[in-house]
Amino acid sequence: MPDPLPPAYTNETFPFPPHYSFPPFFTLQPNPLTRTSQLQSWSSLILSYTRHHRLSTLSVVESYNTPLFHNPSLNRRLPTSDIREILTYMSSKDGGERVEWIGKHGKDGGAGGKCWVYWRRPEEWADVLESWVERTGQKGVVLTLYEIGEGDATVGAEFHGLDPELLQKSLGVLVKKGRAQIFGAGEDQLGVKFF
Amino acid sequence: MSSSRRGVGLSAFSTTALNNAYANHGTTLRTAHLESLRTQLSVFQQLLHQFSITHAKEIRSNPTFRAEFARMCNAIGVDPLASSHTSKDSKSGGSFWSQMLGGSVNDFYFELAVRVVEVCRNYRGENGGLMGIEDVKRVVRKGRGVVGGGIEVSDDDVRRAVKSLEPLGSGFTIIDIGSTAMIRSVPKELSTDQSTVLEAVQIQGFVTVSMLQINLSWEKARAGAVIEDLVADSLLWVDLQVEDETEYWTPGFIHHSDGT
Amino acid sequence: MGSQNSKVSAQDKAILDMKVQRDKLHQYQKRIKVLTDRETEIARECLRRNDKSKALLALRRKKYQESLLQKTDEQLASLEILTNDVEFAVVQRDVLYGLQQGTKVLKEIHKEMGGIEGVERLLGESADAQAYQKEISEMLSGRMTNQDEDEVEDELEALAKEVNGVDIELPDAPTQDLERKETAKERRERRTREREAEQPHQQRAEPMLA
Repeated sequence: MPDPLPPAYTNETFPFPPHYSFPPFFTLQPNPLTRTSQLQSWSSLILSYTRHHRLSTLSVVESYNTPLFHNPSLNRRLPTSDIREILTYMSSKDGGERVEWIGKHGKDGGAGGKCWVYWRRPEEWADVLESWVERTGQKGVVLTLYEIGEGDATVGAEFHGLDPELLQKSLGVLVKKGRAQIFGAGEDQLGVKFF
Repeated sequence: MSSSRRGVGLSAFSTTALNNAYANHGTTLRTAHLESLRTQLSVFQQLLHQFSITHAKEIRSNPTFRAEFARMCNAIGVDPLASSHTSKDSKSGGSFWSQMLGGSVNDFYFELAVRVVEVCRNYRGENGGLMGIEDVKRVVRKGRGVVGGGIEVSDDDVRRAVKSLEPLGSGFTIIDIGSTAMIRSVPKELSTDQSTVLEAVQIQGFVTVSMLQINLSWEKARAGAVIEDLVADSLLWVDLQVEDETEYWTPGFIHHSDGT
Repeated sequence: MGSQNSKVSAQDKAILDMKVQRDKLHQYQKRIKVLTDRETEIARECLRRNDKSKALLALRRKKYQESLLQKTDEQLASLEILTNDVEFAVVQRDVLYGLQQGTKVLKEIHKEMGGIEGVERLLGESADAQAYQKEISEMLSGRMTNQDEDEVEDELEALAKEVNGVDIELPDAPTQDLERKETAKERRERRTREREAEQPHQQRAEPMLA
């Protein structure tokens, strides 16, 4: 089971790490050893930030101007090419594979470059969902994907408000393991039954 | 033993016998003395042993006490760090003493040394293998286990731990850059120029080529070369988003507790 | 999604359809609430200006929307019971019928959610707005029960009291006996008269009502 999430205080200030206030942090370092360390630090920051704000995806173009990549008090920002490089690093094996580019040309800039950021992987979400179903005695009950993600009964649950696509992916993990079945007529009419 | 000539009077007593008698007496004396010494020593050993056990808690939690204790041990010729805590077969008197002192002291410094090595290795990419004692302390404190987890670790502790690593030929030493004490965990030696620049960078956190030219009266080429070397050794970070001139920062400033 | 659903029965699918409708209703409820709140405000505003007919229209519309929601709620509640019936095969046809009805009503609700601009047009004075108001009024006449219309009038009176501190004067109120309350029949007749009076372009012969 992944570590529990603190409640989503998306309005509370995100505690930036000390690197964020270090001007050279926004310049990709020429020394390869230093750069690797820098990429790792950026990776941590990105994962913490998206986790804090409950963001499941990042778009290079949209996030370029947000506090994540732009520190106004330092007057430093990461250029989009560097943002892309960092995200690509995060999608690699060495980088921890917690980023997945969406669409063929995501990483090459097509459509502003959008990617999944798995501060919690679909497998980890699958665990959380399964244990919730167990705890609430809902095995064998037909549930709509909507009620799991948006229903009044799940307010306060960690997966409440989860990106619907990610929710579906996570349930898909359980389907592959034969522990759940997804069915239904159309994309916004899907249901799931846990076994 | 045949004596060819027997003297009359005092010389009637054989010298040998006398010598023997004296020798015996001396031996007796020495033996008695030694015994008494041994007893005293053994009592002392017991006391020291007891002391370290009774005060294990203080030794662990109070860095001043610990430093005093270590100083006392050194004064009587005992190095509390001399041996590995797992070694049973002792060659030097160290392990005998460390066994006597109780596991806690040795465990503590051993653990601390291990933690220091770990921390320095983890941050090597970021700082090129040069890390302030303050920064090492800060990270160690955050950890768990025998050392860290809120246990107060002092400069003295860290220094002793680093010293204990020296005989291992690990390349760990403590050097001073200006007024800052740093742990160097890579075998690379710094040239004079490099040390000078590293000292200069402590003031504002960064230097530029012009700053070196102005403040040290260096030629541009010299300043540039030294900076290039330091960057190549991961000892300086590059900031290209400055309007006039590239700034070169010391990674030590990342965790600078003072400022933004 | 479909072929290997050996573990998913026809009953499961019916339950899913029922829940999907319930989810939709849930979403619609939230959005309709925004509209009905605004409609109440409009009614108040109209009463302040002494425009009783517009206030009435706003409240009628609100009532209609609320009754749609309530109807669906009730339908779904009974569907829920049916779909969970252990003897599902027996009630299956009824369930299917219930789901079809549910879909119909939900479509109607969806139409009502035309957005806040639609609601604002109830206030308008232009020819365009008036045509719109007439359209709505006619639509509502066909779809509201007498009980609903009664309740709307009650609400109108209560609002008027709130706004003016005074009972509103109903035009054509019976003058002979002010204390006698209207009978249900009289009320219906009055309403018809009032509505026709609001439609000056109607070319309908008005039969004299006793």
